[in-house]
Amino acid sequence: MKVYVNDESITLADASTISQLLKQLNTSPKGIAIAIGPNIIPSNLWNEYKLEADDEVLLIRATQGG
Amino acid sequence: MQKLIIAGQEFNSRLFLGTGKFSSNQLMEEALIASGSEMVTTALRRVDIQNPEDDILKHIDPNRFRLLPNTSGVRTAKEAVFAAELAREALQTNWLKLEIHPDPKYLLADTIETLKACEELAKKGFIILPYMQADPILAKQLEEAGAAAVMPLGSPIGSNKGLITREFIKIIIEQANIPVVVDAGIGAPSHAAEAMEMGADAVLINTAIAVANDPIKMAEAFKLAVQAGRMAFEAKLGAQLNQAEASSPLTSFLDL
Repeated sequence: MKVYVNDESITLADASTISQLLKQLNTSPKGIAIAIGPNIIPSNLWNEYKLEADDEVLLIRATQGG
Repeated sequence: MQKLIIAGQEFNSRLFLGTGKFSSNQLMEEALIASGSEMVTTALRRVDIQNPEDDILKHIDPNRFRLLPNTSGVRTAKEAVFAAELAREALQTNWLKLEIHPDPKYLLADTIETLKACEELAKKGFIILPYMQADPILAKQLEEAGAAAVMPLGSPIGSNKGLITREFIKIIIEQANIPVVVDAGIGAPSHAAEAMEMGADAVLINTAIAVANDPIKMAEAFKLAVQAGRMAFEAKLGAQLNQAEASSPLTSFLDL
């Protein structure tokens, strides 16, 4: 299936979890936050939360700023 | 020097630093340490999944610095609340620099949206330090809305123009029951010292340090200026007079 991560199309195995997505993206789960559409998904749910086709995933992290 | 207390948390340093505009994370880390600061701001950004970047958090020792994520980039109270919740999740802190400035030219805070967001975020348990216009009425309204401190601007963000708003900041300081942190526009250690002499509880500096030729030395210069300004405030400055008052005896000793 396809999902969109920060507007980029990513192909994933069906019913992948958020943790599996992060692994595929080679992204450390530390210091990031994830929202699916308008819903922020707490990190303690990432192992079980299953993505659906066409989900829009927002993946953010801290950066330099004043 | 008296310790600064915000929301029950003690700070030995009254200098807060932003992490923007440094030429490298390594240089930023060294400047943060040289400043003696104990609170630093960060922004949020979308992860670029094609180009993973150096993680800024590796360069900010959590034992030394409290993180103060900001909401820069949002235009409304609704967006600010969403960004605040993302920041809390990403950084595991409920401390927040609330900033809503929809106009990219002057980056002035949207007063109405800032107040609205502050009210909502306080109900959600955030410790909010709002960036704001130097408006004494608004400062009281934000205090009543649950802000932990207020952060009026000295002059526009990144302008280095110093305390253009000084008369209004004085009123804010006089009336506040929560700490007043002068944020934005402080371009030189002398500006920071002036803010502290006026009785500001702290200052937040970013551009002036990050774009200096030697950010590490400038960070230390700000550290000393903030300490000097605070000590002068605590020692209480002498009154200004409109005529001279001799410091030396005026008795004539040359009998000519």
